[in-house]
Amino acid sequence: MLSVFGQFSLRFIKERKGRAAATVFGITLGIVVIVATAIVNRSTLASFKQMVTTSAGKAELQVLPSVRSGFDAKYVNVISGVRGVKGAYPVVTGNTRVVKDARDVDTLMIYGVDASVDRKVREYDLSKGRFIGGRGREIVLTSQWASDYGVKAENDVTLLTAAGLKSFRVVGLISDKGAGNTNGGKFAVTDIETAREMFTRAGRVDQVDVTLEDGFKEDAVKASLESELGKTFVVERPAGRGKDVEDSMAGYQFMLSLTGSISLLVGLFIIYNNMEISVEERRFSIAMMRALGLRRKKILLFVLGEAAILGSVGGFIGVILGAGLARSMAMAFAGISSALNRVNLTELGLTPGIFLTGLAAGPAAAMAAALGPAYRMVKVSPMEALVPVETSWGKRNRRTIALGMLLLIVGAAALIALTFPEKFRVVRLTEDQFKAFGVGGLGLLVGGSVLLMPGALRAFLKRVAPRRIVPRMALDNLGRVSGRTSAAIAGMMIALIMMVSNAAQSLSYGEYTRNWIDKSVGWDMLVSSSYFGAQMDVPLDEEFGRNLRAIEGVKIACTLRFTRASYGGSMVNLSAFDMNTFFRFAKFDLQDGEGGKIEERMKSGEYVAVSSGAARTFKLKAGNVMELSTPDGKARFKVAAVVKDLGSDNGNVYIDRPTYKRLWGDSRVDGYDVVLKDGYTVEEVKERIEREIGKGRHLTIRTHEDFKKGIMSLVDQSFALTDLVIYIAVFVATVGIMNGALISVWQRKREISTLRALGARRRQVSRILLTEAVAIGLTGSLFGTAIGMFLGKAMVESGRVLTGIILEYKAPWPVVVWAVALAVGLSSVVSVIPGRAAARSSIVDGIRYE
Amino acid sequence: MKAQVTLENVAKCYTKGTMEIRALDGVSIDVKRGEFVSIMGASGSGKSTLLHLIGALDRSTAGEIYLEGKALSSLSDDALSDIRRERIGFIFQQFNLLPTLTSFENAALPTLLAGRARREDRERVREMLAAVGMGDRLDHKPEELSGGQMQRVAIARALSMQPAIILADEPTGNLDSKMGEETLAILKECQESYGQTIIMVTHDAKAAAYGDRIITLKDGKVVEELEAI
Repeated sequence: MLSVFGQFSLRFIKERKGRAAATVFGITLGIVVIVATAIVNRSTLASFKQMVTTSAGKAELQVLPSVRSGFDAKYVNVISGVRGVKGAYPVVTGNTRVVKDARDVDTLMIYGVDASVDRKVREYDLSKGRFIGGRGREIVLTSQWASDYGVKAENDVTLLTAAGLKSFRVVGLISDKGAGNTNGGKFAVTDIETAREMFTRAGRVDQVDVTLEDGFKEDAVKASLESELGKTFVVERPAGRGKDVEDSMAGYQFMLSLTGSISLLVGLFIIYNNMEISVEERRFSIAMMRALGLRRKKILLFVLGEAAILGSVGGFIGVILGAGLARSMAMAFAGISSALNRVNLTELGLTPGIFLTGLAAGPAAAMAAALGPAYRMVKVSPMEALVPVETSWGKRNRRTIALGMLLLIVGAAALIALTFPEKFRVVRLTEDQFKAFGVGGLGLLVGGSVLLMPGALRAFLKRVAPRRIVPRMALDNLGRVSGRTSAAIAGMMIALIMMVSNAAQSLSYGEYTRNWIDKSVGWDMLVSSSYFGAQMDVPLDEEFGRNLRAIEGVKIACTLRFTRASYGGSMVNLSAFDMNTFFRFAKFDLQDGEGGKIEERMKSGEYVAVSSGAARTFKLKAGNVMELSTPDGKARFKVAAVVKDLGSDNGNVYIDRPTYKRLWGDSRVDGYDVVLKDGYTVEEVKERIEREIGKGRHLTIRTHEDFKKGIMSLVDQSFALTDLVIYIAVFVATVGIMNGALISVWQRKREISTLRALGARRRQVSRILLTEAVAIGLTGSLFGTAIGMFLGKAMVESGRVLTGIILEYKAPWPVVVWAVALAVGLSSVVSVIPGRAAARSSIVDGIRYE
Repeated sequence: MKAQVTLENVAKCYTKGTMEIRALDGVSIDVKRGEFVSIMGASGSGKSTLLHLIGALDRSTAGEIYLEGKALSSLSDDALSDIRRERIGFIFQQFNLLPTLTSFENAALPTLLAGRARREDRERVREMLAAVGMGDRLDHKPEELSGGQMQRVAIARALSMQPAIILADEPTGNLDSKMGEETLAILKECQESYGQTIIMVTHDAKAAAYGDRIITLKDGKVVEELEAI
């Protein structure tokens, strides 16, 4: 039996190397993204947990603040006094940049600890020098990091601090044992007071690591700590931390999963197509084997075995490439997800679980895709299979048409319903229900179109029946194999629906963003500490603001602080602006609330304003009351207005800075919005700031234009990944058109040979194939762009429910034109291969084909 | 009379795996204008191969074929296509009608391929169909026709360009005896009324007898040539 398998399958694979390679590619495509996704997901969580557990040392519990600004150092004594607590070790931590010769070198995680006691909880395995002493700018680095950057004990390194760039003496190096393994070695220890100066945390603590007395259970002490400290603190086991990482990963994980699923689907489509061609090509051999007594089951096993071999090869390559892609993927997403900033890239390895899953998924996917074509072929009787296929126009199926119409109408109605303004909605849907409704509606719309397409196509093509022979033969053929034609059209249609609807969203969102910037960003320059918004913890101080205001040409410098606070169990972004100065150059773009009173209310400190995203997430509107957690308990605010804004899913809460400072005990500054006096240019004032107060501060100064460009590029980036997937889908749809045409050439061998025998030139035969491909591409693009425009509108309109942002729909006409041109162009290009196959095939073989 | 088709020492070889098969081995034949030649031989004797080479459907491995004085080996693929379309009419055993086209469209296929859709061309196709008794079946698709009717449409197609040469490959092979005789009578009529040259491959001696000359092939070689009495 193995020799028959060898003859039937292995030899075929060998003879059709190109197709085998295409099948392997399809499998690889799917596996590679899935494996990379799995590695990044696992590594992000694992490296964070590893970082937490290694840095926690012997600590059995950790006390953390529920707000980002840390908590008062007096609580260290409170914690120490709780029954069962043996030791309480405070830590002030943050990320900063290492700077050498005015250039960034790397990011370091700084742990500020109490040098006199910290070695009781954490193991520092000194390989060189000594541990940090009391106060003073001394640090201990990891040997690994020091060797990577050529730093030795007793050298100085320059770090960015709130007071500017400062020199730190490296007093010792620690091995990668114990705490030295934290953050992949990008870790340094300094005295807690030095860290407080560095990150402007005077009198505050970011976490307290707790060891327990013998005989006390973690749960009991945890409960005691919680009751003693109240709800503004979180008490956790070091190993149990990671929920916040999981939460912050949710968004990008969704994107990765979506990409992975589409890639797999795309891969399956390629495999399915190739397997169909492979089976069709061997129609005669299969019929012969069946005629000679080989059972259906055996042939089915042969085809599946062949698929399994190709799948295993594809799976293996996919796993290896996936491991490589994981690194690039983590880096690409690092800008989008804060969680990925914490990934230690050395951790991005292949685990046995992921390896085996990827390896098994290859043959499984290939066999699943091969099952359909193989089953169809063995179902045909040997006699039928021996006779060449000669299909005439198919018959209409009333049931299919009725079902198609029903799906089309229900799907379109569902999508239209989503665009209704809220007041017209009979049923209020949750966000998940809303998404499901939208995806379901689209599915029905596409499904209905696919069911109706063969009938519609047949009816249309029969009616058209052009006189000229080339288009006539082409369109006749499309009508005869209307099922396959519809599948090819549907492939292109779906890809272009995605392309156009994505473009509509991108365009509408971009327009909204531009308008928002023009209306709301009234400053000329944004002066901030380095790496503003890049997971750095080195802010500026108020002293800097006073100096800034004294610079010639500066009219206004509005103090900004961006942080997070807890609201209703979730974290929300908190933007504390000095409203007295803010309203002198900017205004809120209101979605809800009384515009006339907004300034007065915001300055009073009793009100906050919420962004449209926050209003949607927390179901807030003007006049509602909001309770935010502060280090000393809850503070109540009235919502003055809902403002249009961009930003995170949870949105922003705006608060007056003096109120924030008072309640959160945080006087740090992230940046200053600067408005210039008349007659001064951005360039000259920027130069003056850098010269007079910027020295040693490593400032970032962005102009209005820079900011606008940066935001617009972020908008583009956020749609770029989807675009990539869309182009892959277009590519696959094109391959689908080519494969369909190749199958058609095999099936019409006799017909094509007859045409050639009757005097058709090669060019005429090629043109038949070209016309077929162009007709498919054109139809797919017309349906796809039309539905895409409709879906894009539905998505933009429904955006107010999903994101709270009211966008104005912008029709992406240039993309529509591009999509049609691309579909027609690609279809024409790929028709060359089947066209050539048809034109070059032997006439005699075709006529003899029986 | 000058030969319209001349084969000089023609050979055709195929390779199947490592084996070389000599389908034709040094065949030399002259066919005069207006002659009806029947080619006979057992299965595998090379008679269909011979017809394919004369019809410019394939190229010979050695030797030369002259069609109306032109050496086929020197012509491009396009030129060969033009010859097939303009100078040759094919009739196949399997009829080879295109399933989506009507009788009229099938018969008009060579004129359509030549880009001719003039009224006189369409008229001529109608006349041809009427001449083979298919004048009342112009809009029927092949699936609506009997075997005999399909072969009549195929004959009308072969005649539609008024070719100089008609090549028929077992034209009666798939027909009953009555239909077979009718088909042969039409071919004979073509020769006699229009002076067309007919080369017909058949294994049926009764059908071969319609020819002016019967050439018998064996193992790729001409073994016998008989003039009709």
